[in-house]
This record gives sequence, C-alpha cells and structure tokens, in this order.
Amino acid sequence: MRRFLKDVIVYISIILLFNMLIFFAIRPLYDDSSYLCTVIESDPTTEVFILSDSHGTKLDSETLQEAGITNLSIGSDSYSDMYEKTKYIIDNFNAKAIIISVDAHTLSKYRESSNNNDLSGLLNETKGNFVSLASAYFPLLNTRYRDLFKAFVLSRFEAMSNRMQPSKDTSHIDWVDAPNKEEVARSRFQYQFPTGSESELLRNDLQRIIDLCGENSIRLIGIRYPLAQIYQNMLIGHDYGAKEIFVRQSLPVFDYETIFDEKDNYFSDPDHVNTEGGLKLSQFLVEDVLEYLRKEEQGFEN
Amino acid sequence: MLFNSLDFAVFLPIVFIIYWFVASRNIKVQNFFILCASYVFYGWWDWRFLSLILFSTVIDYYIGLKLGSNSNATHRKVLLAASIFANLGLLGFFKYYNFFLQNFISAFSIFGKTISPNSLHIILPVGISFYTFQTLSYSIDVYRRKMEPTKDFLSFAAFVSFFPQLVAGPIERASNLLPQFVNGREFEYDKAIDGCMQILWGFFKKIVIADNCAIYANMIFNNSTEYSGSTLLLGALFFTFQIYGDFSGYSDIAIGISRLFGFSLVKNFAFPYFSRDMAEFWRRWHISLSTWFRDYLYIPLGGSRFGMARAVRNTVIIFAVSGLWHGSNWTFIIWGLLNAIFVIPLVLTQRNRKNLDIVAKGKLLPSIREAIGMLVTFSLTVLAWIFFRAESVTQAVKIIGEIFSSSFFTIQDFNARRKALDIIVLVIIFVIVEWFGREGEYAIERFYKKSKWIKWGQILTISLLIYWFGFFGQELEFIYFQF
Repeated sequence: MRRFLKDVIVYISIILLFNMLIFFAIRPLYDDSSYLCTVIESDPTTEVFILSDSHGTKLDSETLQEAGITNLSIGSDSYSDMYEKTKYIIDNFNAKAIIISVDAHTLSKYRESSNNNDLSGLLNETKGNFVSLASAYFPLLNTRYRDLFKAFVLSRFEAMSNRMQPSKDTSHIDWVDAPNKEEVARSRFQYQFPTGSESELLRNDLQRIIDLCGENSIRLIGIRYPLAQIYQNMLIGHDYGAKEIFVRQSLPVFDYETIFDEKDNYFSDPDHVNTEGGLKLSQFLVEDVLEYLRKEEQGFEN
Repeated sequence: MLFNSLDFAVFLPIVFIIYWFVASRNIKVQNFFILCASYVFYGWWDWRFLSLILFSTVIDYYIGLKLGSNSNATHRKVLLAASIFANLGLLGFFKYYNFFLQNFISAFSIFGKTISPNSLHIILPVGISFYTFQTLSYSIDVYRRKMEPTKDFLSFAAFVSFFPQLVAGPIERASNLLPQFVNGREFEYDKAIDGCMQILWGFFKKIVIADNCAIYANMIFNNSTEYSGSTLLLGALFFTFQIYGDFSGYSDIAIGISRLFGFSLVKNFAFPYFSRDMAEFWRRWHISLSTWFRDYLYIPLGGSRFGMARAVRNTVIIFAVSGLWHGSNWTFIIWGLLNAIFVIPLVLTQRNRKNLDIVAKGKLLPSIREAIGMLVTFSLTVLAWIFFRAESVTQAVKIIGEIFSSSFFTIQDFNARRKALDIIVLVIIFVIVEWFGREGEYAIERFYKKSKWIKWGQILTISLLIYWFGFFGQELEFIYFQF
C-alpha cells in the first residue's frame, strides 16, 4: 500500500505542478485580455449598451459615446457570450437599455462552436459558488483555461511556421472594388448558413437574455445590421429567426438590413460595413435609440 | 453519480481511504461500508429508486435461500418463477409499459378502434436492466444447483449494488463476484496499479474519443435530412466510435475501480472492431450480456442442439430480445434482428465458432483474408448502428438510402469540419493503439509493464491527451445509463 500511495502522491504532485505552470502562464493573458477590459473598464455611467458580433465592431465609437452608448461588440460573440455580458452589465451598471443583434445568422449552429465562451464566462466566474472559484485557481478543472492555453501554444506554432514562409499580401481591398463578389458572398453564405434549422442552444440563450432583461426592467432592442445587395439577395428565405423571436415577444427591432442598398462603398465585405458605413450607421442608430428612449420615457407606445 | 464528474472525484478517494484504512480489519464492516457507499453512489442520482434495488435484493436473497433448502421440483419451479416475475416485472413496468401501450393502441387503430391512451410518466431507473439481470442470474444458478445460496445477506446486498458496475455493468455472475465478498480481499500493488491504468484508459476512451465523436454524431444525426450520403456515413462512423469509447470506457473504469478495491470483474469488451465475422463480434462486444443471453436464454431454448431450424429460431429470439433489452423502441429491435440476419449464415454454415482467438495473434499485421473479414464485419456493424442511433426506423432507412445514393459522392462542407478532422486523426491513433494492444486485457496493458519509465510516460501522456483533447463542456452521461 505504501508503494501505491507513493505513486499516487508523485502523480498528484506532477498534476499540481502542471496546474501551477498553466496558471502562471495563462492568468496574465486573462488579466490583460482586451475582451474583458472592454467590458470591465466601460464608462460606469453608461446606460445603453450594444452587444453584437463582428457586425457591430465598425460602429463609430465617438458618435456612440457622445450619445452615452457603449459598444461591447466583438468578433464571434454568440448569444451565450452576450448572456454573460448581460449578467455582468446588470450586476455592475445602471443600465437602461441593451441593443442586441438579431441578424439572420445569429442563431446559426456554427456559433455553437465559434464563440468567445472561454473569455466571456470569466466575467461572472469569480462570483458565486465554490466550484467556480476553485476553477479559477485550478486551470486543470477549467476548460476556458485549457482552450486559451491551446490557442496560446498553437499561435506560437503558427508564428514559427509563418516566419519560415514568405509573407502574404494582406493589403485591404474594399467591397466596392472586390473582383469576385458572387464567389465571396457564396462562401460567406455557406459558412453562416450550414444547416436548415437554428441552434436550439443559442435560441435558449437568447431567451435567457430576454427574460433576464425583463426581470431587471431593462429595455431590450434588436438590431439588424446592413447587408450588401448581393448578400441580401442570397439570403432570401434564409433566416434562423432571431428577429422573429423579438417580434413575437413585442420587443422593438431596428432593422438596417437594406439601408445601404446599392451602396457597396459602405461595405468591406458582403455583410460588414466599413468605417464610412459604420459612421453612417451609428448616426442612424443613435437617432433611433434616443428617439425610442425618449418616447418610452414619455410613455408613448412605439 | 457519474464517473466523469467532480462529485465522483471526491467520492472515490474518500471511499478508498475508509475502505482500506478504517474498515479493512473486519470483512463484515468492509462489506457494510461498500454497501453504504454503493447506496450513496446510486442515491446521488435519485434516492427514491434505492427501494427498487433493495426490493430486488431482498426477493432474490430469500428465494435463493428457499431454493437451496427445498427439494420439491414443483416448489422450486414456483420459486424461480417468482424471482423471474419480480425482476422482469420491475423491468417491464419501468422500461416497457409505455412502449407496449403505444404499440397496443397503434395495433387497434389499424382495425379502426380508437383507444384513449393512459400512458404514465415513468422515469427509467438508472441501471435497472443491469442489476435485475444480475440478481436474476443468481436465482437461476441456485435453481440449477450451480451454486449454493448465500446466507450472508450483507455480502449479497453488496454484490447486487456494488457501485463500480451497478449502473452500466459488466453484468456480474454471482458465482464470480459473490465469493469475493464472502472471502475477503487483499490489497495488491500490481492489481491496484493495473486498475489505475485501466481507469485512465477508460477515461481516455470516454472523454476524448466518445464525447468528441458525440458532438459530430449528434450534429449529423439530429439534422440528417440536411446532409449528403458521405456526411451521413461519417456521422455513422462517429457514432460507431462514440458508442465503443463510451461503453467500453465505462467498463474499463468499472473494472479498474473494482481492482482498486481488490475485486476482479469479468472482461466486457475484447477489441470487437477487430472481429473477422459477426459471431466473433458478438463474442467480443458486451460480453457479460451476450453470455447472459447465451446461458439463460439461448441454451434453455435448445441452442443449436435440435437442428438448424431451431438454432436459427433461437438466434433470432436472442438477438430480438437483446435489442429490446437496450430500449423500448423499434429501432433497437430492428438493430437486434439485423444482427441476427448477419449471424444466421454463419450458424447455417457452422462457421460461427471459427474465429475464437484474437486476430493475427503474435503477428504485426493480419492476413489479407483476415483484413477483408474485419472490413466486412466492421461495415455491417456500422450499418446496424445506424438503426441503434436513429430516432426512428424511418430516419434510419432514409439515412441508409442516402448513403447508397449518388449524394454519397458529394463532399459537403459541414460546420466545424476542421475540428472534426482533428477527431478523425485521434480516432485513427486510438485504433492503432488498440491494434497493438489487442492481446492484452485492455489496449495499454502490455506496454506499461515493460518498464517503470514507460509506465510513467504512458500515464502522463494519456493524462495530457485527456486534458488537451477531452470534452469537458458538460458531464456527458454514459450512453448505457439509459438502458
């Protein structure tokens, strides 16, 4: 028995050592993470927040800030990430309204695996029960650490292999000048709409956000981002139904999907506005949001 | 409590320490402690269903005693019938009540009669198919005078509820496990280390292979109408490795934990995907259930002793019953019958006991004939698993139809294909390791015994692989819990 226990102790020691190694290697990555900082260091007086994926990242921050709106959009955010952010906002800010994207693709199943769950979950992690607290200090028990550690190691490998290859031309081509729009849009479509049915998991997350905002008297507003004409045509009959959920529950939706019809100069690709388009969109959005909140406060029905 | 949960990670060391350091001086105390630990383990899921285990234990204990002391043939038959009725009654009510009711209603509706259903919301108690079969085998063995009934209720209760194998097997025979409770256990270093290695390998199979394959198998089967034939076949292959990793992984963990406590359980899997024919497959897959059906159903029905027609009939019966044992759905029954169809030609040509030893024993590679046999057997197995996994017979038929259609040649860009490729590589590596370890009790058994350094290298490599590739999003239940 003594020999066996000795082996067990050796094994546990190695595991703990490995745990410490990951903890010290990864913890700073979390602490310095811009993802977390953007949320945690938001203006404490903010009352209106925008939660979107990459489609919201080109909104003009200056225009929004002037109107007292903080944009927490980040690439690949799914409804599960937005749920974590909503929880954090409710606990830490005196929020009046949250604007959340309800684009045709946001309930797509690809978002189940393409998201920022490793980071967003950490926002509310150290609050609550013993298990979440323990998992913050025992990275081996925490898959978020594991995923970040994997990403970190793989990025080092990638960097090494990139150094050995000639660098690619990454100069930016705007959508208006893109040579093969049909092909690019088709490929984007296949990526965003892989299946006919929506993700049940994400639909539940979206409903949780709706319920959470309802319980905390926060106005929830849907937003649909502009699409280039060619992509709009491609999407006819394809929508996973996030907007529909809002409409059914009598929640307002600002639909900007078609505002830039035939204006490819406002896009950087088939479904993302560029800086110019972002500025224009922000102006529309600010106007609509302020108008909506003013009406709500005056007790008007929208 | 699931093996792959934090609860169990706390439970196991506590039970181990008390078992060997506090309760080890007296075998009765030790058995009582195992019984309590097993009831806590089971009650963690739902304590109310402990009453069913207790009921089954008490009934078979007393019937066993009566069978042992009674020499009147009629009385003994009545006693055995009571045991069968009690155990199968429990199983029938909790597992099949709604299934038979629904089919009864459907059958009447064919004749234009409408019956208003009165189905109950019955929760299927975890592990009921396993422990009822275990206690039933005890009564039958005592009836056949293959063993003496035990007078030690504590040992018997601990045997019925022994936590490592309580909820998903292996289905133990009293003749193997009960004496180990009665005679006591000694701690052996080699046995304990072997147990730990088997546990580790079991976790690898479950967390790395099965749970990762499950993501894609579920994705493809749950949206089967949206995928081409080749993607559906990939889904079926993912499920093939999911169910193997899941169930044999559970068995490995169960056997490994038992070894830590000084017990030896029967082997439940013997590298079934390397079988050269379907009869061999069924000697290597879920061995404890296959042998149970062989000894308590196939042989009593006459086995192959009364001509070919009887042998074929009996083969069909055991496979149909085996399918039904897995679940109250026609998909399982058809899965069973399909396997019967695959085995019957071997029975008819008397080639069903041709391949008894492991393939290519002592050799690096199989012969071409063996390789073809393995490939054909594996393909038939995959085909049958489609029925096992599908939600309905219609879905299974459509999937198979699509696989054999021209859409098979369409390479579809399904979601997260890149990650799926990682899993395919892992599965290939897993199959290679299993191939090289196929002459052992479990795949990595033979390697670690070569030297201390290999042992530690192996332990750390598998631990790292579990950490790196393991699916920890949520604690996924073992598939066989639902049976």
